[in-house]
Amino acid sequence: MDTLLYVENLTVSFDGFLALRNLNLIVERDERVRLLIGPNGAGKTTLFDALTGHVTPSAGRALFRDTVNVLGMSPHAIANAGVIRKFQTPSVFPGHTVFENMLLSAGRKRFTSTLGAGRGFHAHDAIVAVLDQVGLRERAGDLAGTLSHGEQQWLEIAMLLVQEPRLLLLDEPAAGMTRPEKERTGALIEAIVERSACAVMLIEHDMEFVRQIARRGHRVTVLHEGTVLSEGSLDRVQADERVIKAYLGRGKVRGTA
Amino acid sequence: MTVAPAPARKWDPQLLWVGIFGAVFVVGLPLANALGLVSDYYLNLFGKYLALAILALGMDLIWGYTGILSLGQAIFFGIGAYSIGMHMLLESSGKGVYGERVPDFMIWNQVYQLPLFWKPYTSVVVALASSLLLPALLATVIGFLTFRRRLRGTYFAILTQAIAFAVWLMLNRNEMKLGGTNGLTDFKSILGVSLSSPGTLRALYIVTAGLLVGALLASRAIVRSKTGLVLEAIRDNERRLEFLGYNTAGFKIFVFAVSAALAGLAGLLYAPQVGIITPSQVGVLPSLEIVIWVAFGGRGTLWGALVGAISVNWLRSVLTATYPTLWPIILGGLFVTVIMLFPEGLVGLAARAKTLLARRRRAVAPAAIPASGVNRHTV
Repeated sequence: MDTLLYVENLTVSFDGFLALRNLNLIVERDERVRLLIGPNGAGKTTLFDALTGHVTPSAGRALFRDTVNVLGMSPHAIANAGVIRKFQTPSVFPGHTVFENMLLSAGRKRFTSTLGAGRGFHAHDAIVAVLDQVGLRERAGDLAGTLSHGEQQWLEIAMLLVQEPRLLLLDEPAAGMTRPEKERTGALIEAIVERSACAVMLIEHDMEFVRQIARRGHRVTVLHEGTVLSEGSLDRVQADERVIKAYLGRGKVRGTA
Repeated sequence: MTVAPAPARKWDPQLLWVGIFGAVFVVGLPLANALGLVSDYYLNLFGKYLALAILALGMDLIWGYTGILSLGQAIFFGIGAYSIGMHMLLESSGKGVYGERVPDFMIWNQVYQLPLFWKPYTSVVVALASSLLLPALLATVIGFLTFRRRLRGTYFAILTQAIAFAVWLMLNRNEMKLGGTNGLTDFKSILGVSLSSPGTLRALYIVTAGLLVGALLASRAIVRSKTGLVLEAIRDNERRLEFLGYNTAGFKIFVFAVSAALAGLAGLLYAPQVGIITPSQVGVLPSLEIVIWVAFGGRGTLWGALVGAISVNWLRSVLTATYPTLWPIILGGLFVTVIMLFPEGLVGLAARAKTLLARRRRAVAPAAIPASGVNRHTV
């Protein structure tokens, strides 16, 4: 085995309702981007929740880099193992500056290593480089709460990047963005996978954005009712009868399902 | 504003205020007392306020900065006060009304043998360690049992309140051999010097003021480190912080233990200056009062804790003398007013007035705003 993520028979139950049922999913190590699509309630976000310790699955296993079983690990331990997640809504710390937000994300997280570290403006090359990458360098001294919605999303991506993740889980990173912002976000994701060893797993509803990402040949996984319905290139899954059926009544796959 | 790697600032103007505060309270007030400008009574009163300010600092660290409402702070204060109280009573052993080896209140309860747990308190080292380390240890144990199980918010407040209530009930019982409802009093000397001499009280005052400045500097070091940033982030969004890879329980246990040690220190300094410690100071209500001091002064700023503790207690001294029955109503009214009208407290109000003035001045002569990546940080 040489997989980045190996998910087997993953089942998550909420009071009897099966949000995920025997889900199987493999992401190869050389795979850089994996797109997750599916109608509402398909279990996309629940899958991220299970992988990051947010919910406890009732069955199954999930191996990260062949050895780390992330199920049953606490959220902070999973984050420290390199699986980092972005939530659907931007969740930066609005009362702190952009720089302080970055400072919280960067560096060692153990209590003893934070006690001696200052919170001021020192030479934090890594932080400056990442802020540059997302285009927020000029805003470093501003309160994160004063950023626009799109900027907050980028700040959050920057906060994830500075942690040097191995697998980045992005939950609808382009939601609520304007078209230019979406294009910039797409380019940002491409830059991330090109420049670092980090792989990205991406939940997206916006089919236009999915196409923008997937046209580079990345694989698409379609979830439906808690299990994998189809997998392959975007053209293949869009032609899949089962996928079209699953989306019926919810708008076509080509629309903004 | 750009992120140029600025050189670490060597001199911090905020330290100037700490210096002024230290000069006024550690040196100025005792000097004025020695010169006869401030009466012994007032110096002693201020000694009490400054001891309580240390208690407020601890509450501010855990509640103001970290957002954890601990209603157990008075227990830790009580441990500090009772520890030194026991030592002082043993020090004057045999000098009581009955001339017995045990404190007078034990005679009233027909206890003629010193209870086993009292014996170590003959040593001043044990008493000091018990004042400072026992609260920290207790807080660590409570923190370990609660924070690691993700017991949060209201549940933690209720739990600490229940513990405070239980401790209060226990202390009220004579079987505890800690003086029951009357508590410990009639202290005669500390470290061999008489407590009735003005010189001793002045020395106690200076030690209190000095330790308050020390506690302020230590708290400042914590809140200005990255740990301080993490504590504020726990207050603002703990869940989010966990997904950044922080094990928040460790941070919370640390700040709880520090706040408990500060409360113990406050009790240690309070008892010899006031001359009495009773269960009424070790319960839920006194814990809540500390919350009011901090809220009134301005939570989340260290100056707010100091200003709140000193001003509310001063107000209390004035009002209990003139309107003893109205005092609780005034205190309650004060709290409601603060929450409704200026939730950032006195310090927040002062900061707002300062920005308003600055804005008006800028309107006249536009000046450059100093670039800084750090939040408007208040010590």
